[in-house]
Amino acid sequence: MVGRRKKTKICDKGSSQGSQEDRISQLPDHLIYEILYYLTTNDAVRTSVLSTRWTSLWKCVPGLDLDYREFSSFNALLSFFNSLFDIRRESSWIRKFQLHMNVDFVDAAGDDVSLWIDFLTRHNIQHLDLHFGNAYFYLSVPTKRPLSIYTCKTLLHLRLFGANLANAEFVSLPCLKTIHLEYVIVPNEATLEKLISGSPVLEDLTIITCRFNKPLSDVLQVRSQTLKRIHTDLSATQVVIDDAPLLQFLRVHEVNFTKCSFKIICPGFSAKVHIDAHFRRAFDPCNLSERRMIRNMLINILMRVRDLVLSYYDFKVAKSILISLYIYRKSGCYSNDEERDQISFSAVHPKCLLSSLEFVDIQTRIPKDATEMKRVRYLLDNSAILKKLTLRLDSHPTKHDVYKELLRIPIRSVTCQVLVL
Amino acid sequence: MSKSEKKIVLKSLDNEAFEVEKAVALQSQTIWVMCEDKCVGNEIPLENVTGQILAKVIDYCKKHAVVDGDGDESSEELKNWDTEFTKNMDQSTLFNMILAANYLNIKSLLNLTCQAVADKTKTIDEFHTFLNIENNFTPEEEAQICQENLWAFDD
Repeated sequence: MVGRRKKTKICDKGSSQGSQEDRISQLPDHLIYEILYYLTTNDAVRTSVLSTRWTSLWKCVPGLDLDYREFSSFNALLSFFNSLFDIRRESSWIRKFQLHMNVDFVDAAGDDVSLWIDFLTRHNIQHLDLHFGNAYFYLSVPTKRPLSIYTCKTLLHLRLFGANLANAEFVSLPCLKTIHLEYVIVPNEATLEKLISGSPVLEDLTIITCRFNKPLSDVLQVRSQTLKRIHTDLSATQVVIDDAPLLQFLRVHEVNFTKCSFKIICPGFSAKVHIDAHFRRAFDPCNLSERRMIRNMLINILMRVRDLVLSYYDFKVAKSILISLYIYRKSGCYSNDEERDQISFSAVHPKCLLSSLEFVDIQTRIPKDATEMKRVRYLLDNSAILKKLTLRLDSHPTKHDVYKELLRIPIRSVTCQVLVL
Repeated sequence: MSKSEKKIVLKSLDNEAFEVEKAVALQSQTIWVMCEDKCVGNEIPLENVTGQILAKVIDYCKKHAVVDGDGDESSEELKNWDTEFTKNMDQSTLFNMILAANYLNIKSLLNLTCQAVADKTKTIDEFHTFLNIENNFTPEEEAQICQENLWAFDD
């Protein structure tokens, strides 16, 4: 019974708010480690001066978050790392390792960082986040790239920025859920394909501003039974989503008109996919082959799309795409970044188009002139099943007039919601 | 399985009884093991958790039992709910939640509550003021500890 009473005390209603009791120091060590896990290593080390109880607690925190800006040189970072680990010793308690180094540090590091990563990936690591160099810069070499990164049994989350990937012979990442590659040099498409197929529970895949060192086929085939989200801007490589039955979100930047940038050909494709396509440049609506290109690109996906967000620089693109949308009787979401076209909306759009439109998001600010309002009026007046129209007024000079005008517009769809941001 | 078998009664330290769906309660690995062992009946005594805290834990489990695995929007919604859940908890409740999550072995709740404490205490001053940790070092001792990892104290 005595034991019970003691336990009672721990979980008692406790002190009232604002009490002076030091609750955190009473926690068992392993729970303090879990709290310090959410601090950067710098902040965690600083807790050593809190009180005698805290002097060494930070040393057992299962996360390391090291930033070159906090160290005077790579040697300072190295000696800190070595004071924590003996990488020849076969154990590590680290679950999360984040490392940010600039070019100077990478140069000074030699094989050291590779040895750390090799050590960590052989021991219980779950989150690996390596950030080398700065944006807009492809780092040429961390000399030795450990292959153990491809066969880590515990890895859940892998984020690489500015790194070089080694050629993958064999990949087995049984727990990996997230891959984020940014400014990464990948040897070839096969390495990425192996990375994807060797990760049987992968859910998130981001490949942006990456390039292939020696591209082989210009095609990246994505096959995954578990993948839910894809974000990519590989414009020189065609991304073929071959089999991804759970895919919900696809974001493609830098869509290239000169060749089909992405293609979805799996039959079991989810109807709920959200596609966010950003086009690299305006296309020429008079150019039949470009128009056909867009049409072909969208034909494969429109049947299965719930939301479509398109960013482009020409209203005529919208026209073509919306007509495609109409043809495939699917809902869409249109936005125009830089309105240049002055053709009246009502004149160019077949009314029947609007019978299938459910969501419209106009992402640019409504201009002062009346043309955009005319379009808004047309949309609201004619869209039979429109569910939501989003407008951005921001600091519109005649905001109140726009509001008044909006209120006067008859809305055809009974379930329509107009959101003004 | 009959309706009553789907329910389970959790009894807090101060004898407050909570009837919950089994699926809700089984997010706790501790309760899961207890149920597997069949050493308990339909009523599970939780001698480490007060009714006040258990009610909150159950709220969390209910929310996470309903929404889990429902795609993007709901996971976003769940995140917001989690933030709201811990936002206004006072320090004492937060620590009791950590202890309860640890005892009941609900990993996601343990992560959430530990993160909430960390978010409130980024600097050493915040540790001293928010968490009432008393500095029992002599200035010399403190200086020596700083010296060991000068990089972290070098502002």
